[in-house]
Amino acid sequence: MTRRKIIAASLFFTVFGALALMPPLVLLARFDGRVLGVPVETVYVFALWLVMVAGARWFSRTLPDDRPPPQRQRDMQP
Amino acid sequence: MTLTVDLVIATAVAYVGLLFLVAYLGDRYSGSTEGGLLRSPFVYTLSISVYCTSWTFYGAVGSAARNGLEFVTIYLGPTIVFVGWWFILRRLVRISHDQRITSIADLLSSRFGKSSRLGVLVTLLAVIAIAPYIALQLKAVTSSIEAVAGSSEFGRGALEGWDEVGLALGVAAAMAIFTILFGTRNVDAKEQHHGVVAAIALEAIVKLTALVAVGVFVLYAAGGLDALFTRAADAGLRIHATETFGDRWVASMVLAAAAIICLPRQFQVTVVENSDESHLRTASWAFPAYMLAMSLFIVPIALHGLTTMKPGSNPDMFTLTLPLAAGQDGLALFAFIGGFSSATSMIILESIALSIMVSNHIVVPIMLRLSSDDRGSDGLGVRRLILNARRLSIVLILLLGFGYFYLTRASDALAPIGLISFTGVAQFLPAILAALFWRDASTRAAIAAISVGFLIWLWSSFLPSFASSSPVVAGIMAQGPFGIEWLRPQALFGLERLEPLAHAVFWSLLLNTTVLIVGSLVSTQSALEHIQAALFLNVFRPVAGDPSPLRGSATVDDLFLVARRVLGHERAMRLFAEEAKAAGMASTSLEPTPAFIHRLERELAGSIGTASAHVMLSKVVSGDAVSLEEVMQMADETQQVIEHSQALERTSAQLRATAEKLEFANRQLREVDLQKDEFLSQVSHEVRTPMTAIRAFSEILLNEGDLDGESGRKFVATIHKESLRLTSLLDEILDLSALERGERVWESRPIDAEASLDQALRVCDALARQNGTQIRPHPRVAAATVLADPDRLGQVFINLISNAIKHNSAASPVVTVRSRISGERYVVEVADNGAGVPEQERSRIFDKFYRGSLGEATSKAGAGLGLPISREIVTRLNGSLEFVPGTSEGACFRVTLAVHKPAAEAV
Repeated sequence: MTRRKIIAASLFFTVFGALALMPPLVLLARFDGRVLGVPVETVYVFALWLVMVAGARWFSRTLPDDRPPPQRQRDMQP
Repeated sequence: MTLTVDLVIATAVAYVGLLFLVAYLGDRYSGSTEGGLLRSPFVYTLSISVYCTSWTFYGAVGSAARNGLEFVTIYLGPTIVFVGWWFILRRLVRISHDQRITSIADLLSSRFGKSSRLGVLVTLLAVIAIAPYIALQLKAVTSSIEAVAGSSEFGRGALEGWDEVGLALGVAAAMAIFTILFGTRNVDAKEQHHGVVAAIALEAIVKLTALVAVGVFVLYAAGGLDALFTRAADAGLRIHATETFGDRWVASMVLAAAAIICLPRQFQVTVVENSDESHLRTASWAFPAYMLAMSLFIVPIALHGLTTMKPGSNPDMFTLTLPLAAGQDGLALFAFIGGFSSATSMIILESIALSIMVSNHIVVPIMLRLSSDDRGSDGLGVRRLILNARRLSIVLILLLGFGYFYLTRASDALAPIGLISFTGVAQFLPAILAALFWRDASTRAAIAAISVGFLIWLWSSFLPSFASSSPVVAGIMAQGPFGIEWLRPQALFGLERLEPLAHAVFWSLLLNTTVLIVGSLVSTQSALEHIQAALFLNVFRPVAGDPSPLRGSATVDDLFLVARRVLGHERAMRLFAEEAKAAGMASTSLEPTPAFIHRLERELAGSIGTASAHVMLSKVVSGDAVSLEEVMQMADETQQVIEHSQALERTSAQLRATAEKLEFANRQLREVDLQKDEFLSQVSHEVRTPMTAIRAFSEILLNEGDLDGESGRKFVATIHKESLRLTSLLDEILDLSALERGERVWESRPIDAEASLDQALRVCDALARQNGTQIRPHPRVAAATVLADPDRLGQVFINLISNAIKHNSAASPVVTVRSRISGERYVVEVADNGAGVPEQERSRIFDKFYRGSLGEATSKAGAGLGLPISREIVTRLNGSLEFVPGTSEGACFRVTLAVHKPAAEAV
């Protein structure tokens, strides 16, 4: 992927993550089921949260490094 | 181990001592290689988790017990902001590094033309908005000590005779001393506090471990998740989030997302204390992960507390009271320290951040105004003044927090108090977003917008929190001020359907944003605002050289004096020496270049804020304002030139398009002209042939007097025949041109097209016999009603059939006439078995006077107007006449007309 596409992907990941946590999408998980004893909406919210953390970790490694030169040089030194 | 109040207090004091040691060591080693850990992204992340205060540690459990899943919104909002770090946080960090921003007030003041008024406004409002939040921490620490005291068999120990208020005051005083010792030991160049950050990071680990420990204990005591939830459901608790995902869910998520940017302490740790942008990269997932870990056990702890504790116990304290009730004194002490950690870290950082704002935006400007020329003083004065101002503001901030606690002590839940603060600081969000993304946002609009948002907040969110302690406020809430119903704090303008939090968030942010946008549209920016806006917006674009707003003459001595006053002698010396070294001259002969003045301003801004640094330097650098206006004027002129040239470009593009159109029209005209010439020469040619014959025969008749009667009659007959031909030719030409101009009017009516076809066949019968042509009129339909003029339609059929007969050169010529109805169309085909139309001539057979290479050869050919006239007629009848390609032998013409429906006629 190109630099622009990765940045766009990161934007969409964030926006869709936010949308999935808001009504009406979050209401889809609102029914009286239980997973290992835990209500299904609780599982949904925490699972989505975990997905966002994982996604953020992937993006944190993939997004381009565009720090100003002095900071970048400091990392290159042993 | 027996847990007593004395033991708890002793542990807390010892813990504070440990923190102090960590902070001391952190400061000491921050510059050395051993301090590398202090600058690691994980310490940075842990320091950001100062976001999780005792609101999280105690309040989230209470919130989960009262409102179910709702508490997670407070952590999901920041998660979204951090996952999208690239778009807002990265920008903030880069701008703040570039501009040496020291606080959120400094950020807004800097973007909006280094406005001191905006800085003061934001500072004051932040101090007011944070008071409830500080009160929350005081309340949490007090309640936790009370909880231990209440369960201890040894009574209140050293707290004998202290009530809740006294205890809170004691906690506030202790916190004030602690924070002063911690945070105001020196004025740092970039307002970075490595020691404090190290201590905060340690506290972050302690509170997470404590909460997880209590969570694991609860799961163990309850016998697993399944058993825990089943027992809660059996006890009649609502474990399902029935009404959670409503307007309140959205409102608190928006608030939390705003708070992680706007809270002064979060801005301090995330932006100001950031030493490397790549740390933000790590924090983008690590901080959400931290909050996830913090939230994981909240629901189990709340449900276990609700099922096992006796009714009426405070759910906010479950984290502490559950281990206490189980006799786990060690765990309870750990939980207490965890809660204590979360409260102290918040109070320390929040009051440091606020005190920086107060000293930089209120105290230093006042001091600058009062002491216009104490240039002789040694720099220690300013620094001491700043430190004292900060100490004083820390005391003031904690006093305000205590005051709020005192006034609202009757309300019991923790989380709603925090949300009041969140709504207050969220009023900065529109201005911050405008600062980052909107070039035209103006200072006056920002000031008005923040003020309006804040007034709404005061009225609809802050004021109602006193309802439980003040009957006056309760009266206003119920009836509105002076009985004005539409001003009721929680139903502004009659909006009663929203729940109070969502109501306050909605109105305050809506009006705030509206004022900001409309205000910016109608007001104009000053020169400095213009420049700062460009600096903020173009932060990621490489610029050639720093644009220096300050230019003009200043002596090095003057500059040095200013620098020494703020930075101290040693650092000022170092700065000037570096500059002299870079310029390659002795420090005594150093020339103050605009770039150096700019650098100096940024250095000063790191200590006393942008607006104050600007004011201080403006005093010694003359010629500042003039150059600014000039620069702006030049920029405006350039802008105008650019706009003009763009307008010119647009006009010339339009001209080009017009010219092309004209050329096209011209070409068409020439073609028409050519066609006309061709037509005229064709007509002349056609007319000339019979005319020549007529002339020749009439000359013979005139000159040869002795012609016999037989020959004479023959000649006259020829003349007659030729004039008939001439007349019919002229008739055809007139007919065609009239048709083309649409002058021939006839009445179309429903007729039977088959009858017309029969009539045409009858007319052509004689010609067919004469040529020996066989006509096969089948297959045919019985009848077909079309809308047409019968004579005209007949003319078309006669023309086609007679053409087919005349141009048929086959040995036994056959002409086939077929008709059919397909769908709603009536189709007639006239085909012959002659030589057909050669491929290359097919496109021209409908041209006027075109007779084809075969037609030219035969004497029977007409003027070549039959087909054009027929096609014109059929087109006028809304049908089509076409040559049917693909037949192997002979030519085939097809007439297609729409079948007339009586129903359509009725309309």
